Amino acid sequence: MMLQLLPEFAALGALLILFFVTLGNNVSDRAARWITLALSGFVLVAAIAAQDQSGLMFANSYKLDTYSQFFKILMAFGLMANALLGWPLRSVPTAQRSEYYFLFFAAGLAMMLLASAFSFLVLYVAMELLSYSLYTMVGMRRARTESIESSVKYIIIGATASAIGLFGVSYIYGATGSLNFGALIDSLKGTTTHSALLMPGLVMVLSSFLFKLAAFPFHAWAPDAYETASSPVAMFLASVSKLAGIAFLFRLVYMVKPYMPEFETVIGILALITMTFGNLVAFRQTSVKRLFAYSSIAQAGYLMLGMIGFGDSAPVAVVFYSAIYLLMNLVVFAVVLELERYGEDPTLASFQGLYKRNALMAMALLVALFSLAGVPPLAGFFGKWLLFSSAAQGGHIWFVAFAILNSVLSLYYYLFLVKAAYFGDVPKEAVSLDKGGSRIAILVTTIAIALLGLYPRVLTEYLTGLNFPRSLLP
Amino acid sequence: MQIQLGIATVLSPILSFVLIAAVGLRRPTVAKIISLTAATVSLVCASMLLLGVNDPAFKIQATWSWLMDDPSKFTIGLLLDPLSLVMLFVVSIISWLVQWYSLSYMEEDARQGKFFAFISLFCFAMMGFTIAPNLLQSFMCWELVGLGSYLLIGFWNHLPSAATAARKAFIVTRLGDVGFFIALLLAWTGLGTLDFGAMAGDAMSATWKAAIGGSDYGVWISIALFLAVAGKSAQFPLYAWLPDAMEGPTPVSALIHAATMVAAGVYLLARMSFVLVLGSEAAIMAWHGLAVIAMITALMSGAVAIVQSDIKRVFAYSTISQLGYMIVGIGTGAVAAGMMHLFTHAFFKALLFLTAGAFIHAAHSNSITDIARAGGAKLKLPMMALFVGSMALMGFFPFAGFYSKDAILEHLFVEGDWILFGMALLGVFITAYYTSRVIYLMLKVPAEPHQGHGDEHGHGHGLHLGSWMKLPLGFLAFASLVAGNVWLWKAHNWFVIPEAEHGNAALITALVSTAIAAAGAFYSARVFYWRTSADPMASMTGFATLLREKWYLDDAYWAIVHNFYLPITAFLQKVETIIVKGALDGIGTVSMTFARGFARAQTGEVQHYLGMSFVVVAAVVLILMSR
Repeated sequence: MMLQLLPEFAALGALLILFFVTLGNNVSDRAARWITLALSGFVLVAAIAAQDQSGLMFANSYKLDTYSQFFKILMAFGLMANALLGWPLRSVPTAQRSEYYFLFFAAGLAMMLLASAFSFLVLYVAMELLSYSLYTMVGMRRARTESIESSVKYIIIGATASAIGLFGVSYIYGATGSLNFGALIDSLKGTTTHSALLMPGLVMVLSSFLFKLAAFPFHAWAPDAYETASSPVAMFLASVSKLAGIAFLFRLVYMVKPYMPEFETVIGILALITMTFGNLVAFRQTSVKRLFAYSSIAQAGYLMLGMIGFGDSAPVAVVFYSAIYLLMNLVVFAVVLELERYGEDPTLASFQGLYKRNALMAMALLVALFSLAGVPPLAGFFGKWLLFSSAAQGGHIWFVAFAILNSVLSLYYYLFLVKAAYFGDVPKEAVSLDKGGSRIAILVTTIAIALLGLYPRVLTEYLTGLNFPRSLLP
Repeated sequence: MQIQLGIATVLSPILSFVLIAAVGLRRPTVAKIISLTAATVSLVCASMLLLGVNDPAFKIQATWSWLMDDPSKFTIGLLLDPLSLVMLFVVSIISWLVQWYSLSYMEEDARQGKFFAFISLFCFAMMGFTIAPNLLQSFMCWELVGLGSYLLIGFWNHLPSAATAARKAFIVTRLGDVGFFIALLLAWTGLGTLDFGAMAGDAMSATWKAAIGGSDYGVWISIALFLAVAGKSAQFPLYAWLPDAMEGPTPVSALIHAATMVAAGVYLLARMSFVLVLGSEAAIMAWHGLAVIAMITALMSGAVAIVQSDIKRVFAYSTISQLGYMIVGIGTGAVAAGMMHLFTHAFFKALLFLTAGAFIHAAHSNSITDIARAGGAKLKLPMMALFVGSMALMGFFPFAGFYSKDAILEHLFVEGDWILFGMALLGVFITAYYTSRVIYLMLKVPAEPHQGHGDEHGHGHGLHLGSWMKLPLGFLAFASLVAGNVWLWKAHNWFVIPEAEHGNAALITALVSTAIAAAGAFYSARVFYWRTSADPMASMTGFATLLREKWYLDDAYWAIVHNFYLPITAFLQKVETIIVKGALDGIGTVSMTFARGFARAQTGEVQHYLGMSFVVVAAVVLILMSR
């Protein structure tokens, strides 16, 4: 068991080690960061070591399969990248910084649990562990009262979403007599006329995930949280924390959708509203972190569209896009963090003339933004192509047409930033961006985005080999 | 093993490009080391590959699916056969020599890192093109080669003339690239494959002859490709960019605009020459037509070379003319002869350009007379190199050009193609005339020791030859002497050489062409060397004006641009501003209106957010329940 759950135990161990090491605040921030980096490296190694594990555990409530194990690798990679790039925690009081690293692994553990959850009970516990870690992280920036405010909003919306979800779970339990997914699928398979409780139950459970993904109608927390949280926290929210919601939601959708076509339509429509909302409101933002909050809302919409794609191609599409979504947001937020040295909470104006201040940052931003916008030959284009073609194969051609229009809309605000970075004039009070920063990490990530676009088969072939359709269906 | 060597050959330059971009842009020494290391790896691997070939039927192909899973669709990979390996060897050895030479030539440039990065990028593109197993990869690398050429022509972009020349080269070759793209689409739709091997299969013969639009695929694809070849290999009517491209650093001219990139079009023709076997009579006629155009180009550009005062421009026009010869060879079916001329020409023309570069570097002027006044004739090694290169270019025994030019002439003679044969002999005369003129001018114009910029730059006592320039000049001079013999010695390993049943044809063409070249050199000496008038150029009038205006080709371009192109663009601009922009503005306005509405939903009041969530969830549940 120890071996099978290696990544989870590694995250738990990391959490405990950090808890004891930072107890009493006698470790410097720099040391805590290096410890975190090293521990996240261990978690990544553990996740890779456990990649071939499979099986049902804990009374069929916890499932290890190629899908969950690959997501754990992605999450561990995301944790490590966050530890590497998401530093320093400028706006968090020194005394609280060590708590951040503790919560960092608590959230990491919760995400891994979510990737494998196979019962509504595990799901709920993992979800709450993740949510509570994130609430605290968002509220850590004490210097701004807005940070507390948005943290409280986040808690209220989160609590509501999870209450609705739990209420839905009770319906499902009423309909199937079990909290286990296997039992749920068995009862779906058995009859063509489902219990009247099942559909409302599933829709309500869905709410919790829409909240995690910041999808409509539970998106409202995201812009405030991203903007007012410390930037490394925003990076964490935008990059790795999304993976957990995607991993679980797709597992549920994939299992349920063959039996409930209506469910597919619900997700599809919510996906369209989510992406349209995200893209259109992003037009009007001046705060960069807020803008990327809306951008990530829109990206979640694309992913949700891919989830209802054709059965054989959807898993690879969703996992591929999750991976590059992670990379793109890491790069974007790494650049935002660099710019923060110039003043807290970068606005569009602080991107002016970035090219002249630091060509590498501008290049990385250009690649990441073009990729987010889906410009060939970058990874984002190919990822979107996989998502959309899968959805089109699944018979949702009109949804896809609408999504492509959305993709065009999104060009506007992405290119706006590129224009500012390349053609804008350097602000007079700008400080030098020559020294420091995680140059190499940013460069490597940027090259990865370009290469995955030029030669996506490196990843898609590997993902196809993992045979997700078989491991996702019980 | 060969596959790995091939991959190493092609990938080391791109690795060098990335590494230089990452760490070498501000560290010239690092950039030079990376770049030359990569070039050495390429050269060693390419040489090993070529030496391993001992059968014209040798062929190894490895492809990987690209973008799509279906391997019958888009693939990238390598095709290693004698044709590609000969080209790969030429590219890698010339690029190695040129990079070595550039260590001296570029030593005073502040942006050396960038220079070596661009050269590496170019080498990658050129090699990727050379080993391409299909038209798609060819096309992509073809375009990348164009980019590399653009970046390097305009390398000194602080000079307006360099920036203009780079733009001209890019745009003019782009016209040709449209042809390539059309060929690509036609092959994809008509033949159903882009793979060279599959296209050349015997079973495809009927498909090539399938009718489309009044002719057949063989004809249309050939014509579309000729357009591409005319652009890249600088043939009529798209050759005007090449002389202007001389604005780039001279090593670049040697590498790109003499030995490799401009030969890409010739190589593409050789690659596609199976059309001559599979295609219809009409397709073969089309190739012959191309040969005629190339022959005319060779004569026209050779004539213009006579009146050039810029030493690089003489060689640029000469390059156009020699490329014409290669295309004449391939267009009339003598693929091996065409490739032979490509092979030998790469060495002696690179030699001539690098020699010109040595003079220019020393005398700080491109003008032949300026160089001579500054004492260019006293530079022993470059003068020797100029002599060897010129002898090879004029085609005198035993220099390399003699063998390769005669191979083409002999083919025309044996085929009984008297018109082309006659024109080719006229070309030999012109070549000898303009080539020897450079030497005569160098020797005739007296040196004026205190002239020129040499003093200002610190090499006060006479002219100075860069220390890294000696090896490339020496080696290339040697190669210009022996390359023809090497080819004759090795070529049966590479190509099926048609056996001679023509008796004395070789001897006759050799004697006739040597006599004509000698006549050209002699006549040139009468005009430029023995005549006593101070400036022989001044005495030229009439026909010379036509030549000096480059057949008014640039003016014709301008006339077309002004009278046709600009009115069309003006019209399209109106369409753009009124219809397209109007529509887009409309979309923008609508989007913004919606955005404003949506943004209003983000009130900041958590009650509103929750209310919205509740209403939506309840609505979804109710709608689903009611069904």
